[in-house]
Amino acid sequence: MATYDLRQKTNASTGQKVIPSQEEIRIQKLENKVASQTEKLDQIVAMLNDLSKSKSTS
Amino acid sequence: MATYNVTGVGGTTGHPSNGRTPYLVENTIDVSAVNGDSGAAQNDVLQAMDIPAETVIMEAGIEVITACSSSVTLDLGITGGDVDIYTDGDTNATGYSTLTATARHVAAAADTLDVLVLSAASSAGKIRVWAIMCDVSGINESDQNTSTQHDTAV
Repeated sequence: MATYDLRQKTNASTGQKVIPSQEEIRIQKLENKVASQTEKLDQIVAMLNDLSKSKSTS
Repeated sequence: MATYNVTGVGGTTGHPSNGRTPYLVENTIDVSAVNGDSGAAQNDVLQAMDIPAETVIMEAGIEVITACSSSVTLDLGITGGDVDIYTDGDTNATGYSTLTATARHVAAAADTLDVLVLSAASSAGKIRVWAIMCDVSGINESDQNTSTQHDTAV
């Protein structure tokens, strides 16, 4: 008799996975979308700051 | 005989919809690939998933995707405890194992949910172990009700 630890991904197992509900998947997608928008807004702010700096020096 | 209401605040408004929810955990195991592709020997224990401390396994079972070797039966439960609390001697026909009627397990301390390979060795088979768990640890384990609430019968 032997004991095999298959809780993590191995050659013989996918490993244990918590399966999210549909609601959790929807929230995760929403969070990803918000994070993406935040990134874009940060870029716009950075560009506006650069523009503002270049105008003030000219 | 008296009845005491120690349910705390909330009255008859019911439980909130944002309370803790049970969750599904699964692990697919290729029995033929265990032990360097030799397969599982009779009485081998396959640790399928973690059970966190203070967690109840509301239900669990085995879905046989590919049958194991002939004569193999499968138990699902707690090694060192009730080894067949969720599945008892499943004949490893493809499909879902029959669920037992035994009272469900609450893990006071962290443990593992294990498959026990019985009756014969198995050089074949693929199974998916699934479990629905829920955290039942307390967040308010000290008595904060007033003595009046305890001492007055409803």
